[in-house]
Amino acid sequence: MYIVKNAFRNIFQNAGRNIMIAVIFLLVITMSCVAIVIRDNTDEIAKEYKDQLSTQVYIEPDYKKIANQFNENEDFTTPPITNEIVKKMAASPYLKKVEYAASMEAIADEITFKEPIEKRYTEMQRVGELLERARVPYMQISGFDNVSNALAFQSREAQLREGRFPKAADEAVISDELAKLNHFKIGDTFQAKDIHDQNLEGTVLKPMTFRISGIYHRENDETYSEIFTKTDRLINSEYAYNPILQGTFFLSNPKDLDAFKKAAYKAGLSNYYSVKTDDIAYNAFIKPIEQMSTVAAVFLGVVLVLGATILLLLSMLAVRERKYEIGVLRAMGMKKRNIVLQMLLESAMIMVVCLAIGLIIGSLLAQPITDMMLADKLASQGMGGSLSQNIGSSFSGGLATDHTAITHIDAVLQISSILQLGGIALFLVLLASIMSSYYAMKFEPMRILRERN
Amino acid sequence: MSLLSVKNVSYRYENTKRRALKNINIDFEAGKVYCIIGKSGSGKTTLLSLLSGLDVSSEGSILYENNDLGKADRDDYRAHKIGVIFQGYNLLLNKSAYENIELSMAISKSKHTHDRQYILQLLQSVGIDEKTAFRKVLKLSGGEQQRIGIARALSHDPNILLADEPSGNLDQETEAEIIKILVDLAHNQNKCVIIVTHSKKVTKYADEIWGMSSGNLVYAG
Repeated sequence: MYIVKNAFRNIFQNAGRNIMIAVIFLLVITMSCVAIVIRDNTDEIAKEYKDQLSTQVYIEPDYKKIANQFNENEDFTTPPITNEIVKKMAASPYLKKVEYAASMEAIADEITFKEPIEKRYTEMQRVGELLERARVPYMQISGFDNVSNALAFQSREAQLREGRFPKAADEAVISDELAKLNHFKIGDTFQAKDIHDQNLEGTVLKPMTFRISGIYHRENDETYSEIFTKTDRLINSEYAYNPILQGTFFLSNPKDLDAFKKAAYKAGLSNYYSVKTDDIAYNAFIKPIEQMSTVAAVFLGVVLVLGATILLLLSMLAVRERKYEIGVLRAMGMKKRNIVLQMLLESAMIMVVCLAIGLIIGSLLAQPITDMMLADKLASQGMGGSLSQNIGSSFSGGLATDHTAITHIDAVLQISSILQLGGIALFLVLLASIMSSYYAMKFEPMRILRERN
Repeated sequence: MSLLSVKNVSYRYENTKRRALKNINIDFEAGKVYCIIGKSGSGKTTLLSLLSGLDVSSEGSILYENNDLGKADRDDYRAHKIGVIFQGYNLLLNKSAYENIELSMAISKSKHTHDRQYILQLLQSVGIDEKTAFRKVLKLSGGEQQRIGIARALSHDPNILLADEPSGNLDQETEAEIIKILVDLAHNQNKCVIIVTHSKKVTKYADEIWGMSSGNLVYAG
């Protein structure tokens, strides 16, 4: 007990030395806290995104190949990914899950749009596609198994303001802009139809009647005419000119990409399509976050090395004074282990206070510093939230890719961070006491006193 | 019956060829005052540091109640059996006189450790008043520090008292008082008191006087 009491008294009796130690402790703990919080939180987000991006498979037309082929042969048409191929690929054992989507360019002559409606059919041909007779589209119909998975809703670019997402094939959600133009409300119905008159087999396409189940709001009013529904009718050749089911595939293990690729081509996927994971998004999303984590880790290393060096120097400078104290205590009969314990207790008591203050200051500083670093990273990458969302949408035809822009990282002090800081604190306590402990353990008291005197 | 025996002890400081102590033999008994006299550098303080268990001899052995100090727990020996009055005081300078005594008593697990009156009386007996007792040692004079050193040596009621020039910084009146205390401890409380001194006044009270010269110890009366 007297050891604890003496250690406590010593803190105040050697205030000058202990204030210096406390300042170093506090600086190291505060800066380490900031660095650890940033590193841990960025690591966590990077891992989360890495898992998602490296497991999501993108099947994209190889436009270069298609264009080359089209230049050689104007009759060339890109082989479609038929629903059968999609279903076969979906049956692959390498997949964790598959999300389906479909889309249709449509007209709806009974309703009012911002623009006057052009009702004439025109003939047009897109690269790699057949010459088609079709109307100018006024409406994009996007279909999903679950509409709430649509990128627009996942990224919160669009938000459901009234009603609910479609549960039946004939239900749809429309924008508040379109609802306002047509005085639509929940439960009202309207008709829409594929821009083509006939399907690929020459059968006349039927119009679709939709009942409004929900109304959404979207900041970007250029896309006000997009409506969201279930996939069912968009992949039905009675309604759709080209009833293609788009699949978004998620691998169970990112390492299985090559195996899945082989299986996909074997299932009938044309070589004019590439199968890959999301490298661009990976670089756009994860690289800056990983760089932040690296910066934080390097900073932590520098702080620890500098702090440790300064503490060691302080300890060496204070050793003359401490040597005398150790000599006197040993001369009085205090055991070596008790002296070491007293030294450790002294440092530990100072550290407990510094740790508490450092954790508070560090966790308060961590958020603004994280925000500043993230803003700096995004600025240096030339990207903001909108760009990252564009990256997402360009891949999967509107299906949410499960990753939205990282414009904010919560710099939260986690239990694991506190434990790491506890470890650092322990290391610093040991370091601050190491020189004195060495003298206490190594030499006879008379030698210590003789050296001092 | 000897309390402390020195058997064929020699000592050589690290990295030196010369022996500071040469084949020393002496027995110390309880109830006696011993004076060791000699010139500076004769080896008096070295012998004192070996007797007090602050250092270990390179040759020979020192026995306390027939137990070899080289093999015994010397921390325990210093904490309980022996009290040392250092020439250089060796006090904890950032602590008060009271705290120095209290800490020494805590280390030796004295029953009076938390007895404020006992500690103050002890300090009073060597001429340290209550006000001075609570001032930092650093701010006290050499004489006052010497007195505190004496009080600390007595604080845990040891069987042996070793004193290196105990009256060196004291005025004549206090010197007489301190000598009286030490002689009283030996003669009336059966303690063994070993004093290293230059003072002729002190040697007058000694039961045995030993002289040291170039590391050799000889009986002088």
